[in-house]
Amino acid sequence: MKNASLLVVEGVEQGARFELGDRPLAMGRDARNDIRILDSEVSRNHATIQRVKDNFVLTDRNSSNGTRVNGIAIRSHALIDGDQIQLGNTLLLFSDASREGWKENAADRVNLLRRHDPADRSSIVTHMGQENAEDAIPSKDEAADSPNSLSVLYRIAEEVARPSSSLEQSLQRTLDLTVSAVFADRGCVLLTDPQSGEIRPQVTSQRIAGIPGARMPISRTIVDYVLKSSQGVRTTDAQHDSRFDPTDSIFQAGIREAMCVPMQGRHQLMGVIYVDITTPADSLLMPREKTPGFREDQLRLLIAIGRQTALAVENHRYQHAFVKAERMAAMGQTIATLSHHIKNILQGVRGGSYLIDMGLNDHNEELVRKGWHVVEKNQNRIYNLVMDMLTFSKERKPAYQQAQLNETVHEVFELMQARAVECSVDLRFEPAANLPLSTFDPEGIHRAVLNIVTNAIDAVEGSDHATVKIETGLDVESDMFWVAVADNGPGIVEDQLQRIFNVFESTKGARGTGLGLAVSQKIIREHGGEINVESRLGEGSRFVLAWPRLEDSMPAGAQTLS
Amino acid sequence: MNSAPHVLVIDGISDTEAVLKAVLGPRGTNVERTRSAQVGRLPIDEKSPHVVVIDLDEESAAATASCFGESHRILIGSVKTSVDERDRFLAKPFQYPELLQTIEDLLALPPAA
Repeated sequence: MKNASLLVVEGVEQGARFELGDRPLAMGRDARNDIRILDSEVSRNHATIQRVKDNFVLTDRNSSNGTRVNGIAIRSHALIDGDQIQLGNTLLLFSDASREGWKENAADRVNLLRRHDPADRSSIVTHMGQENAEDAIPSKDEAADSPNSLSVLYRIAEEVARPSSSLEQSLQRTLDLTVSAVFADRGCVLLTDPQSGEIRPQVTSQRIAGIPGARMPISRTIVDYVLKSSQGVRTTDAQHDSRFDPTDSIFQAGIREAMCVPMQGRHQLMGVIYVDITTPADSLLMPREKTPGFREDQLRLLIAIGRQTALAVENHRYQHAFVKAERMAAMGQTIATLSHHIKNILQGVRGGSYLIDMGLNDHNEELVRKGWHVVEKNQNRIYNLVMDMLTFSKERKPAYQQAQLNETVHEVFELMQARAVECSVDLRFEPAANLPLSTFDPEGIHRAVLNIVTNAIDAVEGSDHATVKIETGLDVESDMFWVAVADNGPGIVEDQLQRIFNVFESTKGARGTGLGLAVSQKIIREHGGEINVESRLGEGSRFVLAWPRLEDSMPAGAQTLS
Repeated sequence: MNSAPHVLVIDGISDTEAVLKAVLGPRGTNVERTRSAQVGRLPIDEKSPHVVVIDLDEESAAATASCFGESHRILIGSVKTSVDERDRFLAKPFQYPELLQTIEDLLALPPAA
């Protein structure tokens, strides 16, 4: 099994995807978990997920609030594609992309008989439009052993509305239910390709095991008729319908009866659903009422299912188009913002190079030194940009280890001193006394604090008595470490405060990438903490990065997926 | 206004000021840098520089530019926008000789207003 994953559908980490592999993964709030869930309702060690043969098994680890799969509390559960896992207030969708081969498999499992194929002599005994099908209440005779249509439609409606990572997943689950609901042996959903107009098998389902390797014959003529007339049909042996040449092809194909219904969307026909029953020849000699076969109420039900499925396909395509448009817009914004920032760096490098060139020509060492300083500064800007991008990407994983927070923050203070002097900013550091060693990702915290301090210096540059103060501490009551960065700059206006942590949201014009604060927030959230901002216009801003003290028994190198 | 030529760089990257200072400073030109938010608090003798270099990528660039009607203005931006005919425009990333030459040309002219 490969390409299985968990997608956070609801929760702080909404949109995060965790890849599942052969290694058992621990889930919970504690930083040592492989899958860290930043949710106060999730236990520190909440659940594990591990591969057992071809399945992924989710096991609750005596969590306080329990683990639910599709709304039902579980102790241990073998996950199936599309399952929704709830831990606290966090909802995760389990996807198993190893079944993405459905499209090819469906085509392999279906024999779409050519038009006018001599083997295709299917004929129609009943045809029914959407308007007739809407009367889904079975007659008195039918009601005795009729499936509960409403119940089936309810389940189908639930199924098509369930979140799925792919259309095929949704169609497969719907078809499995359908085949079971109408007591068919096999079924197939064929969709019309929006570009080419070709009809293609998308998913298949088999309730009764057939001959290994046998392909499901589907009459192209019947499918064409359904697509053209938008009517559902029930087919059986040819003698009963005058619109097709009477033949015994259905007997030859091993099909006694089939139903084919249109998938009518709001504006267009999306495809058809085709189900059949294969009956051995000896059973065909039994009286009609004893032999398995499709009834009109089942056809009505299938037409209703066809309509619901079509709407689901249509919705999926709309959603897919929206996501694609959003993705394109995000990609465009990413490229534009990064290009803009890189262009500014290039501008600086050009300036430095120009001074070096000029200095070399004039044998002016002072000019060369000034030029080199500009180049070096821009080299640091490229480094910081790359580090921010890496931190924001999923490639980087926090490396927790025991460290002294004051030392990490002091490194930032020392690093930023030169820049502060250059910008005429008084940069101060007031470390808390007797701060204990603790477990955190020193490199990550360094970057988180560095970005905040850089912003603070940029904010106060040019102000009178420009000051940036960095403090550290441990709040004993909440058992949380904190780093505060305060400046006496112009402050942040209220509507900007709501957006400052958004990626590519920068108030610094040419000097900002819009990545810094987003990266700092990501790092602090990885530590289970948060960044709080207080700002007053004309007085300044104070950023407080706070995270809970982790247990100090963490093995070095423990990592968190993000 | 000081008798020495005066160039004011507003916003944008600090490297522009560093380069202009290194090249024009020894030639007797004062180069200063400020932020658009601080423009209102500039000393009176710095409010009418001979040449002002403005980064158009800042949100407040248009408002800032309007404060320097008496100066020759060089506008630097990523995207070329329609500029007043007396203003000069340079697209990022520009070449510094081009910026320096433009400044020297403008310094040789009488004040804009």
